[in-house]
Amino acid sequence: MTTVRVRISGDSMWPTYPDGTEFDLLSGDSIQPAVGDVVLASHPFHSNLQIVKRIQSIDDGLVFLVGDNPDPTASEDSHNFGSVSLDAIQGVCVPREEHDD
Amino acid sequence: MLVLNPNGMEDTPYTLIEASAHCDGPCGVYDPASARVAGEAVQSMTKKMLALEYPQVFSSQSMATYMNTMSRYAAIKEEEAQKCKKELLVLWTDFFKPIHLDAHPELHDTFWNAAKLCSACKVEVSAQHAQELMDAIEAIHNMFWSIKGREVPWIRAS
Repeated sequence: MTTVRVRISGDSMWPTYPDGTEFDLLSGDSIQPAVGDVVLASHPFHSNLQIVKRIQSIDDGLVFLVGDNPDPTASEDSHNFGSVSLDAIQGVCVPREEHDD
Repeated sequence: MLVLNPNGMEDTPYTLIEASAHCDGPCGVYDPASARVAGEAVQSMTKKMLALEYPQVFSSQSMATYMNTMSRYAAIKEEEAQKCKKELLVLWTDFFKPIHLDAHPELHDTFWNAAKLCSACKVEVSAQHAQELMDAIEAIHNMFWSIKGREVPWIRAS
């Protein structure tokens, strides 16, 4: 079995998760993203770009994604590109240090 | 990307996805050189104003020429100081992020001081403040490129 890890580049999830943080990706039908989860999603305007953000809200199947960085210019997220479809969410990211291997 | 576990003790490979957690930059191009060029122009105009000698022959023509030259120096100094201030504020508020304060706790004071010096250089004809402005821009240059992880020497055009 092959597991999937996600490594972020950039500071939009700082200070919670600095540049280079690695996550395990939980995906599949049993995984239901919830408000507060950090997720891997497809960028709505760049099909080949995958992003890691936190779910701020879910409303009628539309997910509002935000970065953790308190600087308003430090995260390209739903403030810029709007809400994304639930289908754009590829999985929930769990930091590797927060669970047992 | 398929990766073998780095400790070499496990056989289980994993797929690694590189994901972006970047900011939104309209162009993503920042360089303190823009502020430096404007700051140099301020210093140059300040020096020219201080060096311009009063006309030895008083006439309508000589006074008009003198005042025209001095006015142009003052206008350019005013314009370039405002441009310098704008370039500094863009760097301060758009490029630099809270995380950068960890390595550069003097960041806010340096920018605040630099912006104040831009204003001082507009109000005054001060060689001292013009030099202090350039010193502040040099400090910002050094902070900027250390954050970018590159060694870029401080070079002046004048």
